[in-house]
Amino acid sequence: MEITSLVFLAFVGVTFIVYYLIPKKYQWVVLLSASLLFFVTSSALLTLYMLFTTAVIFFGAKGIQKYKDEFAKKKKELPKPERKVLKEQLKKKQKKILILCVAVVIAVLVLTKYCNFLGGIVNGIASIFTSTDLLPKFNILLPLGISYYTLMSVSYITDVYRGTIKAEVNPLRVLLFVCYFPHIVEGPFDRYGDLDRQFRTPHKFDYDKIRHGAILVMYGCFKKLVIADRIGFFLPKTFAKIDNYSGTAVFIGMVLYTFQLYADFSGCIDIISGVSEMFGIKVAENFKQPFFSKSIDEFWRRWHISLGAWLKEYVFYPVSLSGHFKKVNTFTKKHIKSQHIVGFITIAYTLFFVWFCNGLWHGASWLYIVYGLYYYVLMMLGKFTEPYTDKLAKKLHINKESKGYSVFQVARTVVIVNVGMLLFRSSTLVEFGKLFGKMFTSINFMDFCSIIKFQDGVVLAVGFVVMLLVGIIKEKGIDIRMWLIEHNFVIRWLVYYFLLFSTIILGAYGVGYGGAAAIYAQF
Amino acid sequence: METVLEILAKVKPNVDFKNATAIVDDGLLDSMDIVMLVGELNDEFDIEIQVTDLVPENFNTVDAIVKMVERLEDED
Amino acid sequence: MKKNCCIIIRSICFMLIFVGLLYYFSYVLTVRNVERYPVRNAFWQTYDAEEDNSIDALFVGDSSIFHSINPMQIWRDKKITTYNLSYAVMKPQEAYFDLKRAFKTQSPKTVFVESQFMVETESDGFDYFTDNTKEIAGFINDQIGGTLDNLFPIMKYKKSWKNLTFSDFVTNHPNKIRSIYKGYNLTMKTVSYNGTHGKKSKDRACFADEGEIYFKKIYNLCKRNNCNVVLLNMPQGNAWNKNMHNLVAKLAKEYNIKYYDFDMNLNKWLPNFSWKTDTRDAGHHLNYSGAKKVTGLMEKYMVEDLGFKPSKVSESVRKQWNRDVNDFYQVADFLKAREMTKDNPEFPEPLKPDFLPPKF
Repeated sequence: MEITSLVFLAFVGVTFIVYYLIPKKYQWVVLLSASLLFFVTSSALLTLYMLFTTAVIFFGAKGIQKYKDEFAKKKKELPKPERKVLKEQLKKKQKKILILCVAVVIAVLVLTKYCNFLGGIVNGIASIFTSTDLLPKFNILLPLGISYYTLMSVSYITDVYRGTIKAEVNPLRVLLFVCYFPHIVEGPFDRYGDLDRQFRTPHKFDYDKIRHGAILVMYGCFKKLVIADRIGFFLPKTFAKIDNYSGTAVFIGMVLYTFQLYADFSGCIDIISGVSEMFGIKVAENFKQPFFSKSIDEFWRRWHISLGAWLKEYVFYPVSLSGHFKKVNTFTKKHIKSQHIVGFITIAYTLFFVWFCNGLWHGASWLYIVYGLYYYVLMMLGKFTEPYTDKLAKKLHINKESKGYSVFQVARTVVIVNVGMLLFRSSTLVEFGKLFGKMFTSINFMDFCSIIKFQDGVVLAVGFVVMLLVGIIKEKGIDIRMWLIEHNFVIRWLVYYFLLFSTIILGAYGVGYGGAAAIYAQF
Repeated sequence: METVLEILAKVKPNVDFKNATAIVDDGLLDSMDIVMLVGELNDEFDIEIQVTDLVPENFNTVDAIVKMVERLEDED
Repeated sequence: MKKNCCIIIRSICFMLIFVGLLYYFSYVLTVRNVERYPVRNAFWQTYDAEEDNSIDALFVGDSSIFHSINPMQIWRDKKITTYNLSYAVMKPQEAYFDLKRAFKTQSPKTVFVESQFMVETESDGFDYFTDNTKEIAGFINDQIGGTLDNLFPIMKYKKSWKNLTFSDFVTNHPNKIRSIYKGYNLTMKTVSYNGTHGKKSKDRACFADEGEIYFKKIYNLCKRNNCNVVLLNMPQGNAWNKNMHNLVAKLAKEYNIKYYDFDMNLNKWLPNFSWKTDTRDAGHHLNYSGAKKVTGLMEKYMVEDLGFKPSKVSESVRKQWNRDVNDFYQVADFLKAREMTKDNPEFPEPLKPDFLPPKF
């Protein structure tokens, strides 16, 4: 079921009532039942994939924990040298289990999501020798949220291996973590420890907390239905016939698409965060006003935060601290004198993997990988030239701390991100190149009117202003929702009615709008 | 203590780490800087900093970094 | 305790104001002038403007029928009063409830029910492995949505927000607005259909959206109102095939009623029909040229086969209909003369006579 559908509203409503009526120690069971129901109504028999992944990590974690407990028991009786030997031995066994489980779980993801992509590569190589395709194209259906729950499963078992958390003895609790319905559709990526602690806390019916969550849900619906789906309704038509339009149209389309993607993704995240908050469970934050970022680096710490955090924790750090990487580091230090370049090479080496994975996670196509590497290249360029641009700025008397420079930085980031989104949207590099080039060659401001109807434009402009204001207030650290709850009810009710009625009347859903499903749920 | 400060200066020059109280939380060092720092610390003190050690609490002040290094030296 | 009371009272007030606003916006958005914005089920104002008990036949169905049957032509040629009571994506359930309301002010002798919106083929896409439970969620969603739609018209008319003016918010809206189109959507647009005629599918045909159940209800409703039922099907590019026809033919036999399927054996029914000139959107719906042909055929069968006689209406009604026909053909000729072809944004359709230049 879609999260902006009436049946989802009814589903949440029923779950909500049961959740607060039932004895508090069974609240997690209500969430588990609801999550399973949600999962099954989306994926039917494909649920078996998810159950398989859960079983693998549950038993794997149990195995790892067994060796940890064994060491903890035995270490007191042993002298130091033998203790170290035992530690190494058991660590090796734990690592074997970890690697096996992670490999199996990732293999399931790869086989279902990347099967055709890999098949394409094999066929591509084979085409040198033969004209027939070695591997056929499979029509594989994906279970709900496989890209999300697989990575969260990896995080669970890795955390157990690292000793950050203890393996859970109740398989149902692990299952709840994996298929928890707010974060299964589009994320965010949560850590087991954070969620489990909250699942075990009894949750009283707190009127303020519930309102706090409900306002977020309303705002999310507003962003998704009024802004994102509205653009999603007319923009594809423009892109389908883009050859008939000028480069200005491409530019407008690119900006609108970025706006749509942000409103859609952040709107959906708001809805599910709000819903989860209404149950007293806070999920990881995913957006922190990303378009106020001064660098791409910062942008990816404010956009899809939980993905960046996952990659940092489970790809970046392990690769950077691995033995193999140490060798690379030592090698470069030996042969290159400049500290700056050594530092740069070490970072560039590890980050390549991170950005390759980031791109690849988004989709099974070379274009997504290029998308990840696009940001990688720009970031590395920035990092490499940092000392030189600093010197240049000093010479030209440009103050890098000034407000004017900050504005320049923000504008620069916005431009880079927009171009990145155009790349993201294109189906091939050639198409991207054509569109990108077109923006500079043919200009026709009248295309603005032919792409957007006046009334839609007004709605989008108002929506933009609303989102901008909310962003500015949040950037200042003010919790708007708490402010609304604590202040005069008249203002609060006006906000409620504005959000509700603009969503009901202006929402791009129903007859005449053709449903626009959440973009990020296809992952 | 002095060695740690020297290494910090090497990784990120022109920053006052001595008096800083929230090196990670305030963004004085980002994750890439941390990794470089860890590499240097591992080399200098012959220790093995683990991923589990990469938490803000261990890097927010120079004292915390020193404490972590000393703890890891002892463990071996 | 006092705080809880306060909260409960405030919540109730909030809900009451919310529902009140919902009704207010429903009122504002309920389409006033059909000609200004051709929207779903926006015809009650125009339907109610017809004098009571003056309509002899009703046409019910979805967009394929309101693009195909032109009541003004039937009046001009055969002097029979008819009304096109259909709108886009009409569902059988909606058809039943709308007919119920229609019978309150009119007593037609025949109701023509279009069969396309009741029938579909079991698509290839349905996969038991993955879709069975999705159907359940979808079904529940439709039920909730349907109920809300009926309770709060705001859901149906919300797309007309684009055409609101200040007066819509404050003035009293007229309940009856005379229409010269009588539910027909006049369009001169032509987008040829170049594919083969007929749906290419070997799938079994089945009833959609509880079509069978609601057809029974419609049949019984008509019987209670001394009205005949006739099944129809309009020409479609590639949405109809033999399986679907047979299913409806079986239904017609079961109820012992007539069934005119103008899509099956189209060449025999309408030898001069052409997919190049007679469709407005590549086969989905007909344009004015196509509607002329289909309506011509329909009125012929109404008289020869179904025994329709010229309507017995009062002199004032007759005069009014003659005026409507006059206006209608002025607009039609005006549009035709300007050779409205595909995607001309200047002329929103259909037009009101006021929009015409003074002497044409």
